[in-house]
Amino acid sequence: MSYRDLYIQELNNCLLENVAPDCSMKEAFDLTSTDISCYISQLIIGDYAAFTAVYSAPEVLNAFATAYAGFDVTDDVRDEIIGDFLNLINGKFAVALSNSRSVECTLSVPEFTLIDKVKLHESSYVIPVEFSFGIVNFIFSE
Amino acid sequence: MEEKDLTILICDDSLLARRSLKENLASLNITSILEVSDGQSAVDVFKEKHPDIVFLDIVMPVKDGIQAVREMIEHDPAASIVMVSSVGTQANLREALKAGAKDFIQKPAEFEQLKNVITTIVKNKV
Repeated sequence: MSYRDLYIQELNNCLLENVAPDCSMKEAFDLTSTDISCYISQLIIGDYAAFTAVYSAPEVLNAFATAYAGFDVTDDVRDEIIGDFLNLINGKFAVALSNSRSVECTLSVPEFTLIDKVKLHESSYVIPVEFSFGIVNFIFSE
Repeated sequence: MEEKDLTILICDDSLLARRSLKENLASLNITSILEVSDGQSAVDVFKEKHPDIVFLDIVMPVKDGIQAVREMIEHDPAASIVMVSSVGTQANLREALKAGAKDFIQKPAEFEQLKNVITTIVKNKV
């Protein structure tokens, strides 16, 4: 299984368990443009490196954060809560790499600054996930 | 010492993780809870307040959890520190235990696991 496929598997499990059991992951596609605005991102660093991020419309991100947190999320903590989800999935991915492949990684602290043009690695993907409230896009760049 | 008499320091930059831990601790009737969101603040509060147990994240701003454990153990070698992190990799487990952490809980922390860890620490303190 490729790193990308392992990430998608962990992401799917994490979403089903912790956000919405009825969400539906769409087919990942290549990210060719860097003209994407992301506010929430996190780096995987160590033996293996990747850039991860989340983007969607603000109202969809609010609904996503509310579904994950289990309480009504206000704008002032929305990004922090989605950063927490990113940290959870990236942590699970890092543990899977460590346990199954002896690849040791850690994570940067989630970032909440606007990235106008995403700095991409060689292979970059958008993983769209459909929820009842809209589509949330996850970026995985390795 | 009974569980309800414990003073616990929670250190995590995640609002959700702190909230969840506090709710779980409240279910154990533990009400003396200190709360910080970065490793340096954790070390400062630890030195000042001497909590009975510290729950500490690893990936945090200012100072990471592993370095914070080292500094707490240097100050008090008998400190009861439990790592609570999403990044429970082999390397992090090794480093945390080598630094002096007593246990490691993979996030999201579940109530039963938390309860068992606290019970074990209290028994060993008697």
